Amino acid sequence: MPGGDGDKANDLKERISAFVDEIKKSNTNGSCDVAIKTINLLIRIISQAKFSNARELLVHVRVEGMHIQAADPSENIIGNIIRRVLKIIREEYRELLLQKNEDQVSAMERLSMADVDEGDYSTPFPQLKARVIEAVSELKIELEGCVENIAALAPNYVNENDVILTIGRSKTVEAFLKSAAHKHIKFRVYVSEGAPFYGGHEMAKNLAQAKINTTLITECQIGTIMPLVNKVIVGTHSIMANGGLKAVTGTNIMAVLAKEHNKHVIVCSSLYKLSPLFHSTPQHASFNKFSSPNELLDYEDAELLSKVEVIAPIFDYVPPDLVSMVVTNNGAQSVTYVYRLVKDFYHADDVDL
Amino acid sequence: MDNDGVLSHFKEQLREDPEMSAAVAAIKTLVKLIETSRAGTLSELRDNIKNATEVMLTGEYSYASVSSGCEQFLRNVSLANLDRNFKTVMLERANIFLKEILKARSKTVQMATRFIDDGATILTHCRSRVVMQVLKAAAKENKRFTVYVTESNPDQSGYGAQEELTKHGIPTTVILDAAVGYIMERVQLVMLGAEGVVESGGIINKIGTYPIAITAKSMNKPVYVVAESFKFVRAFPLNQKDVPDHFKYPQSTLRAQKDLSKEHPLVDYTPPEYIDLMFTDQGVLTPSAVSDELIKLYC
Amino acid sequence: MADSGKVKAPDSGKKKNKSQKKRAESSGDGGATPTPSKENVPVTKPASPEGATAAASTGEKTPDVKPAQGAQGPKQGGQNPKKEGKQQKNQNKPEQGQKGKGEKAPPKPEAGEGEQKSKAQLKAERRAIQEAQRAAKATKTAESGGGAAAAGAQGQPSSAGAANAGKKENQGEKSKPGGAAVAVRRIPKKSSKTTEKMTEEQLWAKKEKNLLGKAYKMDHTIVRLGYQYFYHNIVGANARCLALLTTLKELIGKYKTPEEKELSRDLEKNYLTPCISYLNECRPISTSMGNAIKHLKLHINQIPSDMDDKTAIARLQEEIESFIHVNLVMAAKGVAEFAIAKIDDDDVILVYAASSLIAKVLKAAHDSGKRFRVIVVEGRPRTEGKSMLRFLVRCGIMCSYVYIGSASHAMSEATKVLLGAAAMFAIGDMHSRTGNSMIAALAKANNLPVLVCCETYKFTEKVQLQAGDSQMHARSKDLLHIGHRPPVITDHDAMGLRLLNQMYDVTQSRYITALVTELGMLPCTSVPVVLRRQEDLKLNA
Repeated sequence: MPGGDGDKANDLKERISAFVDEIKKSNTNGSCDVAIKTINLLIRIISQAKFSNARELLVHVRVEGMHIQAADPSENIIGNIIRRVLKIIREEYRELLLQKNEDQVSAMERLSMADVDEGDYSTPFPQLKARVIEAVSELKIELEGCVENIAALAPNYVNENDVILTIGRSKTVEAFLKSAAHKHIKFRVYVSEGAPFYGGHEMAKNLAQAKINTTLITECQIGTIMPLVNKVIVGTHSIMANGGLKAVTGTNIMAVLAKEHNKHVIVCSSLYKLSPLFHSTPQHASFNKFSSPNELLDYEDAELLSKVEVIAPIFDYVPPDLVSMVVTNNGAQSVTYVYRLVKDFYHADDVDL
Repeated sequence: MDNDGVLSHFKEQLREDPEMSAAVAAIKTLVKLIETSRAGTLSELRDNIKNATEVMLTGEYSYASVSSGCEQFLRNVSLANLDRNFKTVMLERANIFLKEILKARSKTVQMATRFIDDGATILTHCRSRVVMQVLKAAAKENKRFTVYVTESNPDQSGYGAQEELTKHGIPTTVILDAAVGYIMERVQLVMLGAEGVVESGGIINKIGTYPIAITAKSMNKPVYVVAESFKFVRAFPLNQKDVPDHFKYPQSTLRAQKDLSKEHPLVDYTPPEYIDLMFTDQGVLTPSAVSDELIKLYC
Repeated sequence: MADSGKVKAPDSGKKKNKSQKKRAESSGDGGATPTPSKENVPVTKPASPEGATAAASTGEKTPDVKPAQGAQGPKQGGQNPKKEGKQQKNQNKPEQGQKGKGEKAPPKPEAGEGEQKSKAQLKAERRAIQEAQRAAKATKTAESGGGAAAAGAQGQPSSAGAANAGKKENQGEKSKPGGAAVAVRRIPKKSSKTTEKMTEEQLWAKKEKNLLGKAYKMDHTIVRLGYQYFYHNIVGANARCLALLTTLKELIGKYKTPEEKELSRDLEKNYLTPCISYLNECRPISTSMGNAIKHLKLHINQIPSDMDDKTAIARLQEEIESFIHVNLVMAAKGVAEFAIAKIDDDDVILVYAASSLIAKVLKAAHDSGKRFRVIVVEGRPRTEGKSMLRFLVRCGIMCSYVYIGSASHAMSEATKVLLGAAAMFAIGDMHSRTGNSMIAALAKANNLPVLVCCETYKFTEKVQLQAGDSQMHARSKDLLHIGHRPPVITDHDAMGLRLLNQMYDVTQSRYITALVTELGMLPCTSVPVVLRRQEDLKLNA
């Protein structure tokens, strides 16, 4: 037994460090991939954890989670999943507690004593682990189906003869548009290439191969294209707690221009990208990642490289007032409603991991 | 406790601790009222509380926060299904509520300091106790920032604010109320207190707040409001005219039945579209979240 | 690019083999060795790097035009050099490894020196061929298509097509009729053209062929200039205008009034106008060029009928010089003076892509001792910002470099925005490189002042509300080249993917805080006032 446990523990450690490595080297295959891998790891962590009450479990998960998050502090998705799992633990605990105290407390009073209920999460419940794992597995299934659910909503938001503008490569938006095309809706898409990462090229290729009328443009032409466009549909890396977006670079300038020309900006994003963090200014250290100057200036321009500061941020902050709505796997929401979702998904005490 | 007793206790609370919000003092007074009450039935006690509230509102203190605080207190306290022992239960609840309220300000302050960056330039209006605490707390965290505060006529409380902040080592400059447009391009963010937060998500605050918010918005500067949740009011003004008179004019003016069209209002209403975020003890809220919270608090 | 050229060549080569054989049969000479230049075309660079956009740009340096003329002879087809073993390109083959250069990579922005030379060679080659045709009088027709077809009889169109190695589509189409019909030229070609919708590449190829056909009528300096415009070797409003004026000055010098005609009418009508329309076909002329031409025409009309040629020409040349001096050189100094006054110490100035005037302004500001730094915002696919960056770095100015997609990041640090214009419309809108309108809108959203520097000679009464330049200015295919990475998209036509590459856009006056001209700082709404003043001055002159 101890040997078996030791093996499992080592195996888990290995998995965690493999994942951490992947993240550090940005070897991941998109947000969904990161989310699913994180949740898989957390399921293992929980199942192998030894704890006597919910409080210990919370601490354990938090510690392990922080270790994973430390691989890349700007990768919000990891933190989001960890916090959701923590919230699940808290909720399961509460359910169990309420069941236990059912006869003693009347419904009305229970409502009014909402915050006092959990106390310090120290009552032991043997069935906690099983319930938590079950709930987390449900979350995992939800995660896996995110993109399909969003894509299914496409016909509601893409109309006949629409001209759509998008930027870079977002698997969600790609699925969204393909789903609309699948329903035989005829529309046109302008894809902005998303320099210096050029995700837009891949996106344009995929859309064109799906027989969608696609045109590839560069960012500098967004201003000239915008008057011709009906709506702007973009994906995002994260949604911040105030409804702002952390999206691929170029999204902000596109949103500003959309506002100037009064075009709607629709964001297609799964809810696991919703983060409870605020970033008051985009200058906060963990907000942005910068890529190598090599993307912009080749090593051939060595004479310049040494004297020039090359700024190549990977993300842009888009303030919430530039975004019209968010299409999520739970349906379409206004960006101002995001706070409610944050409250539902995350517990206030978990915001600071 | 009779009416005079209520009023004197109320004023005494404020005298003892000038940092205390008027609403907190009012609630403390109401707690004392319940303690010393000799009411026989629940409804009698409720009436006593209501009367006491009326009395305290005649004082020259912020009508909005006192009235909202007291109303929330009443709601909270009388939610219970009571028969006998109602006094003890109510007292228990009252004390819990008071405890929460006292913690409220520090929770709020904690939220707000996160949004002040090193090297920030902040504009604030009049001398809001909460904002002062936020700024002092941020300074204690070794953040360096400068503050511009408006004179805030007619009571010139801006100078008091400057004095207070300078004592804590925060470089503060007083500007004319009319210089807000001029200074706005240098400012990084605007931080305001509120006397009341209304259902639309907007705020009622010292006169002069509205033009500051408009200027900030037109120049794309964020506007943050710091307000504890006991300031949430059940009111929905549609425009400046729609703000109830008892918020706008001091009680003495109303009692004297002066011609209101010739009086200067003390507060104005800032609609939610000019506010970016609100820091409350319930968390950091967008203005649209406010009505959600209000429903929770009042229903 | 050279690589892709090579790759594609065999394809087109295969298609052409049929016609090749036919041609070879008809011309019967596969081996006439091209000999190096018999004629020496004087090498003149359109002068003044000053006028050229950001001096450091290699792309804009006028290439050395190495004249390489082929052997004369009716059998031009035989002269067609072997390109990778196909007899396609009429490229002059001095055997010394010019083969590499001979292969023509798709025109330009990547064009290095070697490729420029090859283009020049190509041009010279063509010129020689044209002269030969003239001499031979074999298939001379007025129609450019016919001329091209005649040349086509000797493999010209295919060579023209092949010359642009980047274009692979439909070479077979064109060469087939060309090859098939030596004598009956036009009909098959036309029918092939009308039957199918052409891709953009085909349109470029067609255009190039047309230019080639018309070129034989033009003076070689104009042809050279035209090709420099066509291949975007000279870019930028000031540079193009300067190049034009210097060329015209030279051209006028060669003019002789024919019998019974007046200089003031004939020069313009029969001599200059065809040149201008040829240049316009190479690349639509810019506002700066248009205004310069108008100015020149005005002065031509004012030449009294009794003046002799020599004096008149001298006068006109002087006039051109003075125009250049006043509107390009002195105006730039004037603008710089006013702009420097608005640059404070510790400013962070944001500029977009490349503008010769802005470069001058910043250099002057730096030289005058102001301490500031610059953020250069880059656009794609032209990446002109890099040349601006080089220039500024060489001046000793501290610079940052960022792509336009990340401009909002840069905006938070910037204090001012300085933009250069190609033209100012009468309503105060600015016509400039694509991307400027976005920078201006973003600057407004961030409350930054936007200063547009523009000499008054670029003001025009025309009004254009939207970017929409339907004339093809630049090749869309350039989009697909993503630096050193392999292109993600290789066959966009087959996929049905469209590409868009617009060169200009319109920035509305409400985004522009001030216009800096040599007359001073003006609000955008004063553009018509300046235009009126110019009119008055002209009338009174």
